Formats: sequence, C-alpha cells, structure tokens
Amino acid sequence: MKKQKSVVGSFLRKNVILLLLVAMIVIFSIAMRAFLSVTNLMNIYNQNASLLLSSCGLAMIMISGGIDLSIGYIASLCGVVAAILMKNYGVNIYVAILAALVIGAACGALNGFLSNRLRIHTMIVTLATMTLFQGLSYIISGSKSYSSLPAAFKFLGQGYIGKVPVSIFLVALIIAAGSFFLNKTHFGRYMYAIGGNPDAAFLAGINVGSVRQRTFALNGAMVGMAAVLLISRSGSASSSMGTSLQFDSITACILGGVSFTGGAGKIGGVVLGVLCLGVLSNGMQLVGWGIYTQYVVKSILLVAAIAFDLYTKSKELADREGE
Amino acid sequence: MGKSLSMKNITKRYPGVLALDHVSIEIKAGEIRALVGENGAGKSTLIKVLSGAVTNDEGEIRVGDKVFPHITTLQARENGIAVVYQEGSLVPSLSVAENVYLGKRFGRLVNHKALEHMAAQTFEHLGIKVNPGTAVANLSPAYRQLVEIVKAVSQDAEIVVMDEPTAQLTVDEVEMLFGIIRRLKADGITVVYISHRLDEIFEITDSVTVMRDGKYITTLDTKETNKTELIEYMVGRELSLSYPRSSKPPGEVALELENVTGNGDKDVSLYVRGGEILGLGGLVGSGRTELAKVIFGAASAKTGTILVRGAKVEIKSPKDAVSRSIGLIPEDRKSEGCFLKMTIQWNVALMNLRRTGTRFFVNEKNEREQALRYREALKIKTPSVAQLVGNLSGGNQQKVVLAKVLAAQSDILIFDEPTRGIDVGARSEIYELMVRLLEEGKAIIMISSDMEELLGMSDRIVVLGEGRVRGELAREEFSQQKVLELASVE
Repeated sequence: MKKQKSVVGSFLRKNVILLLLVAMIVIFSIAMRAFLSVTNLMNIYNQNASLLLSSCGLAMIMISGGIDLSIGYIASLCGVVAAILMKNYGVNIYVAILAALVIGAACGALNGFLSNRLRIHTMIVTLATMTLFQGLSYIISGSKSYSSLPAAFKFLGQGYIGKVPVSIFLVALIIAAGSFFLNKTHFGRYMYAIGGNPDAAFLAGINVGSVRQRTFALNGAMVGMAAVLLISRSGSASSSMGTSLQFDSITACILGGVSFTGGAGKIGGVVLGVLCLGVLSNGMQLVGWGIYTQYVVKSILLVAAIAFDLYTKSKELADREGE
Repeated sequence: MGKSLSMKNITKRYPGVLALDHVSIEIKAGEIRALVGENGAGKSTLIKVLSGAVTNDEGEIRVGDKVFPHITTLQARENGIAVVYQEGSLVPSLSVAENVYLGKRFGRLVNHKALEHMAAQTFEHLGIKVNPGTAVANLSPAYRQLVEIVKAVSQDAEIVVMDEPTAQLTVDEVEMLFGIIRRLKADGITVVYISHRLDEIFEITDSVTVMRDGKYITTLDTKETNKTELIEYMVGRELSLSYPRSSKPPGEVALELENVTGNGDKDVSLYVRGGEILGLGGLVGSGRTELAKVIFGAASAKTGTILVRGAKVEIKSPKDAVSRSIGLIPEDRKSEGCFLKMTIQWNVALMNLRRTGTRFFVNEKNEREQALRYREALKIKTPSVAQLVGNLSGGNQQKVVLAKVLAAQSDILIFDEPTRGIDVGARSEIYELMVRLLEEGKAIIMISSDMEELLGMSDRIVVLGEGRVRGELAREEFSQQKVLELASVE
C-alpha cells in the first residue's frame, strides 16, 4: 500500500511539468473555444520558435554547469548584422544566415574563453559581455530599425506549407539534433560530466576548459539561429529585438527540470518548459489578462517550480537515507 | 560533570528498511564508550536519534534522570548532548573563536576580544595550540576537526559524541585528540566514540558496543576483548586480519621519477615496478597527495623527469596521464572520484567512451556490458548498473571509481587513501582486488595514513616529509616505528 503510493508520488514528481502543461491546456480550452484551434496552436509555436532554440542552447550550458546572461544581446547583435547584410549590402540570404550563426558562435566562444582564462564564474563573465554585445549591436544598427527584409528570407519565419509553418521542420530538426548530441556523443557526455562534478571530470582526463568553451560557442550558434527566426518572422530587425530571450530561456530551462547547479537536464524537459510558458502567455492573452498580470503569474510559476524542485530533491534524499 | 545515558528499545523504520531494531544501550557517567559496526550497521542513525536529528518510532531515551520518548535537537542541547560532526559545521570565513561560540549571544554586539579570550582559555585547558583569531579557512582539515570538537565541548557538554573524528587526522594529531578525550574523561564527561580504526578503540575507550544490521549485538569491556573478536562480532563471521600478498615477483620498472620538483615537492626520485605496491608514507601535509597530482598531471612539475616504462614523458594534464595508462583513484571519492547523480554504467564508461563507442558517438549497449563485467569482477553490490552511484555505500562507490579507472586500461595505478571511511568487509575486498591487479602485472602507488594498511599492503615504502623523500624501507625493514621516525625527522 505504502509502496504503491510512493510509485504514484514519484511519477507525479518526475512529470509535474507535463501534468501542468496538460492541465493548462484543458483549462484554457474549456475557458476559450478558440484556444484549441489549429491556427492558435500554430500561433503558440510561432511565438516561441526562437525561444525553443535559445532554451536548448542554454540547457547545454546549464547542464555543463554554467549560465549565459548574454543570450538576448547575442541574438540582438546577430539579428541586426544579418539584416544589415541583406538590406544594405544585398548579401545572399544564406550567407546572411551563416553570418548570424558565426557571429553567435564567436560571441559564445568569447564568453567561454574569458571564463576559462580569467577563471571567473560564467554568470559574471556573461553579465559583462551582455553589455558589450548590447553596445556593439546599437553601434552597428545606429539605433535604427531595418524593415522589409527579402521575401525569400521572410518565408523562413512566416511561410506555411498547408497549415504547418515552414520553420517547424527546421526547429524540430535542430532540437532533435541537440538532444541526440547531448545523449549520444562523447561531447554530450563531457557536458554532463563537467557540470556534475568539474573536479572529477578534470581527474578523469576531460579538458574542462575546452568543453566549456565549445559548449558556449554551440549555444551562441543556436542563439544566432534563434535571431534569424525572430527577424524573419517579424520581417524587420532592430537592436531591441530578442533582448528578453535570456530570462525566458532560463525560466524555460528551470521549469523543464535543468539543474541550476549543472549535471542534470534533458532537452525534452526544456521543450515542455517552453511550451508551458507559451501556453500560459497565449491562454492568458486569450482570456484577456493584461501583460502585467501575465508577469505576475509567470513569476509565481517560476518560484513554484523552483520550490517544487527543491522539495523533490529533499524527498529523494530522505528516500535515499532510508535505504 | 557527565551524565549517564540510556537508550531503550530504540526502533527507527524507513520505508522498506528497519534502520534500528530495538536497540538498547546503557552508558555510565564519565565512561568512554566506543560504538563500532560496519557501514550501514545503524551507528549514525542511533547518534542522530540521540541528537534529535532523527525521531525514533519506538523506545525511550534517558539522559541523567530525565526520560524522553524521543528527543528534539533543542532538548538534546539543553541536556548537554553535543555531537561532533565529521565535517561541515564550521563557517570558513569566520575566526576560530567566532565559530566556537557561533549561535551563542553575549549581549547585543559581538565582542571579539572577549570571545577570543574565552576561546583561548578553552583551547589551553584542552591542550590545543590554535590562535583563536585565525580564520577557520586557514586551518588544516585536522585542526578544523579539533575546532569542531572544542565547539561541541564548549557548549557545556556532558555527553560528547564523536563520529569518526580521526578520519582526517595523522598519527600525531590523533594523539592530540586522545589528549583531549582524556582531559574530558578527567572532567567526568561521558564520551561516545565512533571509529572504523579499531586500534584507536583499544587505546582510548573503556567499553565497546557492537552493532550490525540495525541491531544491538553486544557490549564488551575493552580490556577483555581483542581485535579479532570485535571484527567477528561486527561482520558476524570470521574474517582474516591478514593482508593478502601477490604470488608473483615484481617485473620491470613501470614508472620512475627523477628529481621531480613542483607543487610543494622537492627533488623527489622514486620508482615503482609492475606487480608491486609502492607505499607512500608520511604525515598529512608531507606532500604525498601533491606528488600524486604531479604524476597525474593535475599539477605541473617545475623540473625533473618522469619516465613511463623507460621512456621520458611530458604529463601536462590528467588527459596526458590517462593516455599514458596512468590512473588515479583520488583521496576524496565523493568530490573527485565519482559522479553521484549519475548511474554506475555512466561512471564506468566515462573514461573509456572511444573503446565502447566510436570516435564521436557513445554506445550504451556496450557500456552496459562493460559495467556488468566490472560489477562481476569487482563484486560491486547492486541489483542494477542503472543504479545512481550516490545511492551506493562507500566501499561500492570506491569500486565504481576503480572500475572507471581500470576501464581506461590504466596499468599504473595511484591509490590515494584507498579505504578511507570504508568498512571492514569491503576493505578486505579492496585489498584482494589490489593484489589481483598486481598479479595482472599492474604497478600500484598507494598513499595511506592508515599505518596498518601501509605496512600490510606495501612491498616497499617511501616516506615523505615536507615534500622531500625522507627514506625508503624494504619489506624486511618495515615497522611502524621506522616509518614514524622517518616521517617526523627534521
């Protein structure tokens, strides 16, 4: 009897975010007919496509024991540069996309490099580089906004095949690749290792600094791609775009069960985390709650998620002591 | 003055486990009582019941003339029960005096002078030489342990419980600790002493209580028992106290150091052959662990030469060392050896991803097979290799670390304190494994502060002191006396 209860309890604890998502979907679809329509669901996806990519990138960084606060301004910089290349220099859209990826990766590599070289915690390094990337983005854009991007470029973020957005294929592919990468490659293993126990990882012959730097570069490239989707969807770019991406990404990762102290987390969980945030915003919008109310609800959700995470850990600890 | 203590029919159940099964013990005021048993015997749980950290389901606790069905942490403190924890109750950035009186208020503001004066008196009374104004962060682990003890004692303790107080201490420091305990006894204070090191129990305690599998087994007068008898009670079967020996003679020189200087070590030359154990003796701080880090590339050598199988090698990082088939089983397995949140399979595979998988990809099926092979070979006690390493006992965690290193095809192995905190049964299994590795031709360097282990397992002993080689002993010359003499010569 007691055992059964603990099995159910453990299922609940492990899948709380999934249950939360299902509960929200049920509530919102009862409250608002329009919620469950295909158009609205595609809308939810579209609003969160960039966040999906940046959250997956950040998840890798958090799994390897770091944090990146500069994500938003990396996205801003990448977006502005790609837009200017296309608008002012008539660069081919593929080259522009590639440029965004490369710049993102370079920014990430810089974060990793500084953290390794100066032996500073990644939170502090990226707090500093966040302002650097912000400055660069505004210098390059001249605080102007660049609209009417090429139609072929906008197709990536706005186009549909039937009722399905084009970008969904791209995002799904990248996320699947990210998950495969984390689970099935040596490099993915090393990310978990340096996040879970950096000292033991070092003594196991893993080059901790190199893994960290490459993880940051990879995340930068993911953020570059997120920026491409973002400006492609809106059809314009400015330095203020995407700048809240880091906080939404951190929230999504934590909701999705990525450990803030490193060494644990799954891409699947992060996707659920993003969907939770997306469904919540969308549903509250449909119900007619203002943006500030939404902030309050999101904040409560985040605190609840962290509290629940801590509770789960203490519970696991108690179970373990009992063994 | 001390108080008598009696715990009657103490029972504690966890889901699926009976941690304590009607345990009863009685300790007279002023008695020094040892509590022994293998890991998982229930000693720690019993102590936690006494300190109020864990609530017992049945039974009663009598302290002096007061009876409690169960005790809270506050009641425990008010009734003079003080527990010295192994680690972690000190705040490193605060001074020794501040730590000792942490949580006690004398007036509204902190009077550093008065605190330090009071602390200085306590330290002097107990014969410990520590400046109470020093920050705890600047103390060695051994002194931190002593400060922990003073902190516990200073709170008007009448019953002092010490849980593995000597795990971090060297021979000299253990003597200092014993000095403190004798002084406590002279003050009439009751002491409960938990240790895996049986020698200490015979030196310091009046009586011994043995526990096994959550049950009370027996209480003996220390003078009227011996080690063999105690171990028999602890494991519930007869166990040979002798250390296993390899049946094969040593082979070629596997690793040689010539005049290596760096990381605090100066001009160290030594060698180890395949099939032999080179013991490294010395006090804590003598540079043994530091030397291991240099050999393993975790700290760099400034000058000198390292030769692996006769060839000069550059070892700049643990990665280089691993590729030269050198393996390190670190001193602190929890923080440096294993990944507690990960499975056994994951841990064992980590250093060997290329052999089980391909150049870029991992192969979980091969990893599982590998883990199962090592579970069998090293007798890792677990129903499944998908078990998290954090859920294993100390001895089994150590075996997982060893499996991880062996899977990387290491044949020069550095064991830093191979059996620290590991219970008697698992200990002899680790020793047998080491001997099997020797018979496979592997070379072992063993750092050990456990004198018996050092003398029992080593083929040769090199004693270090202040980062220098103080001398080398062949097996015929081994004696505790000689190692200590070499270690402490100025």
